[in-house]
Amino acid sequence: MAKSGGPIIEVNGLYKRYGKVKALRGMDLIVPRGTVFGFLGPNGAGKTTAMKILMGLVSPTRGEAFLFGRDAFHAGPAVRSRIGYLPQDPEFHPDRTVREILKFAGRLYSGGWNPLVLRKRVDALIEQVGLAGKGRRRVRALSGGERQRLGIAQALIGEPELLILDEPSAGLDPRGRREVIDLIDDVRQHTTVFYSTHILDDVQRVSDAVAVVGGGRMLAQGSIGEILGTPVGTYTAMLRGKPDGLRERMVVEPWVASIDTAKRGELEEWTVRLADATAAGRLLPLLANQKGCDVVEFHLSDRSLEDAYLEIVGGLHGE
Amino acid sequence: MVTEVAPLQSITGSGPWRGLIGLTGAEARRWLPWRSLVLVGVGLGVLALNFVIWRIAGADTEVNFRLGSLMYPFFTLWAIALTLATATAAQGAVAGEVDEGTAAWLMGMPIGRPAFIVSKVLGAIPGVLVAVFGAGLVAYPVLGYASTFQIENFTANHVFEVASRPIGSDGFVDLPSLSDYLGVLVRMSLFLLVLVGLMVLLGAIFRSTAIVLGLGVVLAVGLFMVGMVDIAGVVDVTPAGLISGLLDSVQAEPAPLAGPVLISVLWILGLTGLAVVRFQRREL
Repeated sequence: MAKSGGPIIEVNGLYKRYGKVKALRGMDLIVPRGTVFGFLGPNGAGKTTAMKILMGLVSPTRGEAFLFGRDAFHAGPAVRSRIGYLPQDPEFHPDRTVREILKFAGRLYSGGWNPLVLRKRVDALIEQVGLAGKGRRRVRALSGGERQRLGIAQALIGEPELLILDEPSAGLDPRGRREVIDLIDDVRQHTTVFYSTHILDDVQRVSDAVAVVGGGRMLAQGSIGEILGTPVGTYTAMLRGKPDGLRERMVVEPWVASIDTAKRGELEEWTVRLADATAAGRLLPLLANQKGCDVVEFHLSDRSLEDAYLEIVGGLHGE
Repeated sequence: MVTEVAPLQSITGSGPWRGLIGLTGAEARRWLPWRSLVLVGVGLGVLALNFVIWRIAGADTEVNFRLGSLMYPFFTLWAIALTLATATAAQGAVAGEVDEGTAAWLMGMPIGRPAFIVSKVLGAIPGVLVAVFGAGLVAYPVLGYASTFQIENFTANHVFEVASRPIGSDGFVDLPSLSDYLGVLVRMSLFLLVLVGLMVLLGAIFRSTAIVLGLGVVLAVGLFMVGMVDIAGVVDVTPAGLISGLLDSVQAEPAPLAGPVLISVLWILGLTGLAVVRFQRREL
């Protein structure tokens, strides 16, 4: 079954079982063209399995996976020629040099290749991924981080329309991590990037959209803004003094969903989540009219992707 | 950070054989030169061992009389040694790549799975030929010269006198003609390539290189023994016919070459074809 147009990746009800272990349990996923798409989830969530199915390395037990509208497992070299793939813990032939690996990969992608063009491309990539001066080094002599950089370079060699990167920042130092993010940022104009990672700051910095998976299922998917949730429903107030009875009066209000309090030095931080965002105008007067305390600060709550992620995957504990 | 680079040419050809040339070249480089040189060394080592055995047995003993020449013990030992060495060299062709994760890397690129499997057999051909012909062509004159003198009469003059005779002349005792001898080397090469095909098939089925090596050695040695014993019927339809004909030929009793070669090529194609079918569904 082939589909034309539409998203660059589409996954419907994907199941994968390894013996008794259910790696995927009905995962759905849509990656629009032209996005940098973060694929998040705890260890064992099924990210690598889903990526391997997309690359045709593993067959699904049930369900469908499409790349460029074509069945992923049977797509063959025609579709893979449009994809750059970095596996988790990439392994290359240990006796070959960095340059040999890239030339070998380049020839596979480039069809009737021109040796001069390929050499320039290899040189540029070696420099781009931070392996300058190590082109003649054999794979067996590379560190884990250098091997990861080589993996990224070979994924980019074919100037792919789609990059699938399984934890590209793994094994890299902070500078290497930053360079990977810059690299993703560089190629985003002409390449869709679908990558998995545990480094949520990076995701928030560079991604247009994310999917959070857990227990082999899709838990949430959308733009960064959608995943963070509109912050109009959560407010933070810093109170000085003793707000006696305030909590009791607030919890009975139908437009208050939850209240968290924490001591911050001599102040008390109140985080109030509203059940009805339109009731925000009623919150501040309620706090301001409280006897025995002053409102020192009042603002919409900032929420990081990490907060949202932990909230989303929090329900998985004990599964 | 981005460096401007001229674009690569667009990809052409995207069928199951995509990548075959590149992969075959890469596989050939895994055999040549070092792996093949080791196999040549195995042959030369057996040649040296052969002299030790000959010296211990003595030139006039019944053993040497029965064998007719030094060729038979050399080729028996050499074929066994090369079988074991080739099995060891080929065990990781598929199973090793899957186990180490390099197969997953390769299959993530625009490579057809059939191309990956077929390249393992095609890429082994130059290495096997170098291994067999490298040691075999050294062995022919050496065994020929050695057959003409007894170690007790070993003098520089005698060696010079023997060495000055043309290969294949009457001075060479019990040697097959050079063309028959080349046929022997072709048989040996084909037998090893059948073994490579077998190891590739086992690698497409099993993940463990130990299982692949163990099963491969058992099957290859079994085939070898069938050839030595010359079990009628079996040798006609299996690569064991190569061994049977090989041992006949080195005793200056040339056996037909075309039939066993054809059977063996069909076996190589069959084993490789089965490996292709199996590997299509292999999870990496």
